Amino acid sequence: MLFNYKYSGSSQVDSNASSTSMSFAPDTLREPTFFRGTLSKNIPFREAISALHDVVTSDLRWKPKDKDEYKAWAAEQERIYLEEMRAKSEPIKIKVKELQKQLSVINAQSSRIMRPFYEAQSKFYSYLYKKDYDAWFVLDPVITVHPDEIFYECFSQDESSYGRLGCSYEVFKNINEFECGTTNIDYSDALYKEFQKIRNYKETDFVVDPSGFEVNTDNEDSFKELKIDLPDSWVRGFLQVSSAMTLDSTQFDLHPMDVYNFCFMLRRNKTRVGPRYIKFVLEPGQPIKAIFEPWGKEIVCERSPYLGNESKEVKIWGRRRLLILERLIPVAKKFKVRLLGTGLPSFFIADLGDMNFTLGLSGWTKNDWSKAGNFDLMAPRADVDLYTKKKIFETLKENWQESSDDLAKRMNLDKSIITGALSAYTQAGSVMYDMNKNVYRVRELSREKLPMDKLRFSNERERSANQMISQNRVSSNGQSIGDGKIKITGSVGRNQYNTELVIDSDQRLIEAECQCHFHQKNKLFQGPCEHILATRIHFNKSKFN
Amino acid sequence: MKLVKQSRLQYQDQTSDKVYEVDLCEVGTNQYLVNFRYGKRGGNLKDGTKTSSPVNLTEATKIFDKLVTSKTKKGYQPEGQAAASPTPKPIVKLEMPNVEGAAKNIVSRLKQAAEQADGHGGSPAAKAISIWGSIKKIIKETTGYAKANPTGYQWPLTRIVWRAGELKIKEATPFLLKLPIGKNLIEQYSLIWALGKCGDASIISHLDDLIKQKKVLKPAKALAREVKRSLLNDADCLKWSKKLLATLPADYQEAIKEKDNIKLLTALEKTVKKQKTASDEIATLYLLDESSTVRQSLRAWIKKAPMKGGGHFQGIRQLFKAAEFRVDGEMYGLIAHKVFTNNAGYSVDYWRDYVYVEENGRWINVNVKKELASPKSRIGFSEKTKTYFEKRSWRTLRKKAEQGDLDYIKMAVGILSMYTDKDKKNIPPYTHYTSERVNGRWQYTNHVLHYTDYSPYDTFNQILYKNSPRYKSNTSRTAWVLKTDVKKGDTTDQREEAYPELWDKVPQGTLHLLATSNCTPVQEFAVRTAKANMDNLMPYIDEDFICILLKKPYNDTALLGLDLARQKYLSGKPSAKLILALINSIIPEASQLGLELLDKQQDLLKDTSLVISCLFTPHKELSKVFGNILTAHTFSEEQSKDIVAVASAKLLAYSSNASDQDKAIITNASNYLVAHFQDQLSKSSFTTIQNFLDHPLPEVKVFGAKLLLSDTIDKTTIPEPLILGLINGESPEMREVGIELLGKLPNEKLIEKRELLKGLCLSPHSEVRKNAHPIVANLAKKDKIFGQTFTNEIVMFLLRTEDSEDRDQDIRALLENHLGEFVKELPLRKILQLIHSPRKAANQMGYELLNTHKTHEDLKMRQIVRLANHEMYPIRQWCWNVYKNQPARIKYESSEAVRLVDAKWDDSRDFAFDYFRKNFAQEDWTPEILVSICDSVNPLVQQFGKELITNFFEEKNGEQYLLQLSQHPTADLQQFATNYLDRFATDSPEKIKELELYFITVLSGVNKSSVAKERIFNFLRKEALKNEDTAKVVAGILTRQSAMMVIRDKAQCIKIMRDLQQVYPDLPMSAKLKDIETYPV
Repeated sequence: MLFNYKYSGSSQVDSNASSTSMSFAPDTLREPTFFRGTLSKNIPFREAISALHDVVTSDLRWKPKDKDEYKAWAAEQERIYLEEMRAKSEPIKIKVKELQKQLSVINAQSSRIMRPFYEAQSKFYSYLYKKDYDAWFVLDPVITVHPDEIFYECFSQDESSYGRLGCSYEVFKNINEFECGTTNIDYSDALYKEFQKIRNYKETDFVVDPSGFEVNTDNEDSFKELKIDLPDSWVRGFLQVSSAMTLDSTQFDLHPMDVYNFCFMLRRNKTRVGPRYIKFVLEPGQPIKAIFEPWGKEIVCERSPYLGNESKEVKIWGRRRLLILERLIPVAKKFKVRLLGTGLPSFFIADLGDMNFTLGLSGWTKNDWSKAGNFDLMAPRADVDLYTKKKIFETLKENWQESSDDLAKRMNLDKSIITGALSAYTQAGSVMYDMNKNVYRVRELSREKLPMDKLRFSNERERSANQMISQNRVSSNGQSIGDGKIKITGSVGRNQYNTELVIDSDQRLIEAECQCHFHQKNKLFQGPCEHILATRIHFNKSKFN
Repeated sequence: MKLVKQSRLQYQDQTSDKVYEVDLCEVGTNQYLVNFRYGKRGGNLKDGTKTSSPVNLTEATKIFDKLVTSKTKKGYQPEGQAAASPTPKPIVKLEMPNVEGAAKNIVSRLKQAAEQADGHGGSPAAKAISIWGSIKKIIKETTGYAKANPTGYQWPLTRIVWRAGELKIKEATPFLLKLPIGKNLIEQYSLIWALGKCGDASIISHLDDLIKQKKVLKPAKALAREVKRSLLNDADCLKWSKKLLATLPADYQEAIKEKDNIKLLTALEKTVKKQKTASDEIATLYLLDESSTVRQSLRAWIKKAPMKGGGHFQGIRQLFKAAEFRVDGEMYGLIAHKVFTNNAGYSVDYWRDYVYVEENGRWINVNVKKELASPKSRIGFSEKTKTYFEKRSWRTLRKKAEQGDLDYIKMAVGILSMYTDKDKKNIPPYTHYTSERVNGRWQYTNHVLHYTDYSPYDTFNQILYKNSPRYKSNTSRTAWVLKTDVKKGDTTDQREEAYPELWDKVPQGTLHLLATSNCTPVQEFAVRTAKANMDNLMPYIDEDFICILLKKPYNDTALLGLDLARQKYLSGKPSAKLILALINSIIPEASQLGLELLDKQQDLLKDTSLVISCLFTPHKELSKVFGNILTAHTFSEEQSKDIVAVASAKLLAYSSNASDQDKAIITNASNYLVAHFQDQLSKSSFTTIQNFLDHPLPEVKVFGAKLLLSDTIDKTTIPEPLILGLINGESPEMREVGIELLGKLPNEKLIEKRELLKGLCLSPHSEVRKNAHPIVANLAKKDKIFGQTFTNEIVMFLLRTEDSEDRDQDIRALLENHLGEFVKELPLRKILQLIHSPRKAANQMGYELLNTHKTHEDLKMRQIVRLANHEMYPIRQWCWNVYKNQPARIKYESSEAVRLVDAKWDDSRDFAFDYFRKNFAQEDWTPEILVSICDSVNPLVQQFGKELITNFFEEKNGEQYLLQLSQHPTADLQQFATNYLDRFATDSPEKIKELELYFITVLSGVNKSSVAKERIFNFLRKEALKNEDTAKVVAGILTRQSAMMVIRDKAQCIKIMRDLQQVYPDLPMSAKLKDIETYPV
């Protein structure tokens, strides 16, 4: 998907010994949204916005090591060994050794001569890297001004973490003017560095700059125009996580020190083999227990009892992303946790007093096909006709934010209709659910409407797998085969293909078999076929039910 | 915290360069800390401390000394001490065969054969079979040949006979006459050929006899006629010609009588079309050959004839043989060239004897043998034939040369003169691999063959390059290739041709080649050979010949011409013809010389044709000399009218597909005309000018446009679209003239066209931009407002992405050279815009403006500091110079100026560190500034800040440092702040309350700042025990922190809580004191 932005100038933070002024350049193509204020809770704001930056730049996907240099060395070494082997006679061996000695001297000389060059080269590369550092960010954060709060949202580079920083107006001392709406802001690494200079003893102005809407008449290229080609998977990930927020979840609170302990555990230990999950053991009235695999270490959150009614066990993966919360520990009063279920998105909401920071994590850091078919977060929840849907949206827009109960009362409609309609808008990126205040908020993610038909499924096979399930053409059966692995057998579709798949303790699909042509031809090289996917989805569903 | 003592150590060896700094600081009364930093020099140093809580001076000194000693032991030292060309193959002078000896052998063998024939009974036919067939036996018995030929291969009689002819052994004639005529063609042909070469007029009757005989085959008969013609004396020959003429069809006779070669050619073509073959007519015509008519029409026919079908090819083949016998170099060369440069019509081999031929518009399959046997054969020129011709032609030449026969030269000249540069073939190099078994492994080597430009023509190459150090024939003699280590384009001074000694004998051949050949290698060869024999050649060289050489498009040839002209004709008064030839030569030197000579003999200029041909010379660089001549000379009205008229006509006569050289000539000529015949040209009517402007060639159009520039034409009357059309024209000259015309418009009109001029200054064509500059400069001089507006507008285009090459440079040149006074007036805002633009040219321009027209006073301090972050070194330097030269201002505005330390560029930052260390003293620093340095994100700057704070510490500011630095987000600075805890927060519950978030932040650092944590715990414990208010705050902190799982910190919390509980039992806390249960031992 191609996103176009046009910023007038760049966002700037200017600070000196006594004051800081932050001026964000909004997207001039969108409806004017602006805000002016002076910060009063400086340090908590600094820490929170830094955590948001950590979300933007976060990329924890596994990257293979660059082994080129080692391979070149090994190849050279192999040649030397071969030569040594070949040199059968003693005099030749001596000669070879002597030559090798000479060679090493020459190599040393050459590296000494070339060193300044290589140094200059690497300096140049690092200069280029720094100069273009901002090109590494994917999408500039979205800023939304609402009558009760102003909030930022962003999504990480690895398409798995969602960050939202909401600041109620108590954070600001004097608010001069504001215009509600949503816009993208120009964001750069330099900006993050300037954020670090926010201090309590400095007066900090906070401006979403409306001056960008003036027309510049000079001949220079003063507008910064960006065309960002976002992968569909990125947008889908964002929408999946935000639509997950509207779902029912298991809730509990954590003491800041519990999060400290989690981070400590993750910092002190290294995971070499799977499974890599945190298992939350929730017993009503008992302290929450978090078990870290594969170490089997347990953290008992003594000061955080579970207040739910039934005991539960929920596993979440991609736990290293929790380190984003580290900076928030000192300024947080508590952390609210919302777990949707094993392998499903989870949310950590830091309560910073007048601010709140939501960290949304998708099921896994890397959402590849091996984990596909877990839960269709984008599925329509309730059938609401188009007119009503539109009306509900218009009504919400009047107040910008409202809880579903209030809205239901105001519109005299059933709550389920309201939630159905609004979750559809959430899936389309027009509305977001604020987990902190439990209200729906109007927030247009992009200027243009998102192509929902394209974004619902990642490929055709996923679509037809869901279709088969909705048509009741799938049956599945699972059994544990040790080592935490589960073997699922199924029979799918009109042709009753027999499928067989094995899922490991990290919920990864590690083996699969199907009788269909696609699978026979491609095996798993292009991802699982629709029948395998359908079996898996069916099995997961039956397990949840 | 005040620095008491410091030790800076360094360690350097081949692989490392690191520093270790140890500080002894005073934090309170008799309270000291020992901190250290270490790491790579210039890098981000790591901080550490040896004292988590302050100690007294004695102990601190002890710790300090111990650390320094241990580092010194480890090797730290206090800072401040411490490739050849191939050898040419010698030309092997082939020894002339011993004609005497060989002739003796041959004659004796022929004698034997003749005797055998004589003694043989039976019919002549049987006799012939017997003799020609049993010859092998005879030879075997002759002693000499068997010995000379140990391989056992025996010469057949045909070959002995042929050899006799080759060697022209007169003595063999009687025996030859005695030999019976054989049955097959080769026997008949060689016998007649040998008779022709050896015999004299006396054998004519024998030949006549042979011609009459039925069993003598047609080609043999044709040869016999040719032999007869060569042996007849002139009178008899004439008679015989008349007889032959009578045998020709009537239209032939008529054409020959009328000496109409075209008519004869038509007749010949008609015959071929009608009979499919005209070999008889061609043979007869060639025998006649007394008139140029016949010869020309034959030549024309050969040139036109398609290389297919017996009807054509038979005739060609017959002519070739006849020319070979007659040593007719011209005809021989013509046919050889025709055969060698044409592709063969078909190729056959033993498993395929069918080819496709066209019949009534359809392609049909015919049997080769049957088709060839038919007199109207549609095929004839096969691949095999072509190879045969190639081999035969060189063999013929070689045999002649080996005998020292000067006919070789005649034939060689004939062949060489037929080749032209068009025959050049560009064959890509060919790579092939060979394999070799070395130590049981196959090793592959690749060989690259580079072909010469005339690679396929063997005979041509043999003649030119037989002894070449550069080229050689490939093994199958099908192509000529470069020798190893020779590159294409390599030259040599060595004589490369075959049989140079023969060429030396008859060097006139080279003169013929020099005059006629249009082929580069032939010319090169001819020049080289002619030079080697110049003494002999001198008498043959005249002025006409030199003129021909000078006009040749080959550098060497023309140079030779120039050389010869110098030697022979330039001492006196050279003729107009020679001067013209010199001027028109491709060698600039010759042209120069020609013009100089012309300058001396101005009377030659009376000849307008000479002037015109000089005008149209291709040498552009000579325009000055010729221009001077023209300037010096005054032409009469009549003459210049003549010249202009003829030249104009010549210019208009060029067509739209003129070559590049023609175009250059046109430009050149029109420049002369415009420069020297302006008066005459200005009289030309607008219609004439319109003619030029309408011409398809842009060069001629430009000439027309130049005429418009003439003063007599009122520029305001020229329609604007015409000027714009020229400005947007396709050639640079057109655009140039267009702009010149525009420039001639009156100023008041031009000033209105500011947008157009701006467009011209930004044009994608460099000449347009450059030519627009003077116009703009002129206008700016006249009208200041225009100048300023134009400058302000054009300068901003530097900020735009460039869409034409070098546009930026031209804008800069315009601004600097022509609009200098307005550039000065540019507002600072624009200059800074230029400097901070992402475009290089804008930056440079901005820098220059800044450097020349602005001082530091024009800029705010913040703007100056921003310059230190610029990518351009000189701009950064400019900023540094401000710092160096204006210390007073820097000190006055220190809070802004100090931001330089946070510069993006290492050099700016290093400069800043150095500058502030040297120039700023205690009184120049305020705590706000020092803290703001520490606030930087860059660890190096933070370190610098810490260093400054430690060095310039003043007691009164300690509290401020503590409160402000404690808000820093990095663990490093947070730890640094702990140094001030004991001294400035002791006994101050308010401050401790204020620092609460700081304490929590440090204590919540996951897996870091253990020293800071320890200091804080100690401090909190100490203070809480003193004061109950503080204890409340501390209790809150500890309650929160005690939930952590880190045992050390948790234990600290519990310990402090226990102590507090003992002092303040009512304090609300998460920990409860329990009695220890004791167990009996």
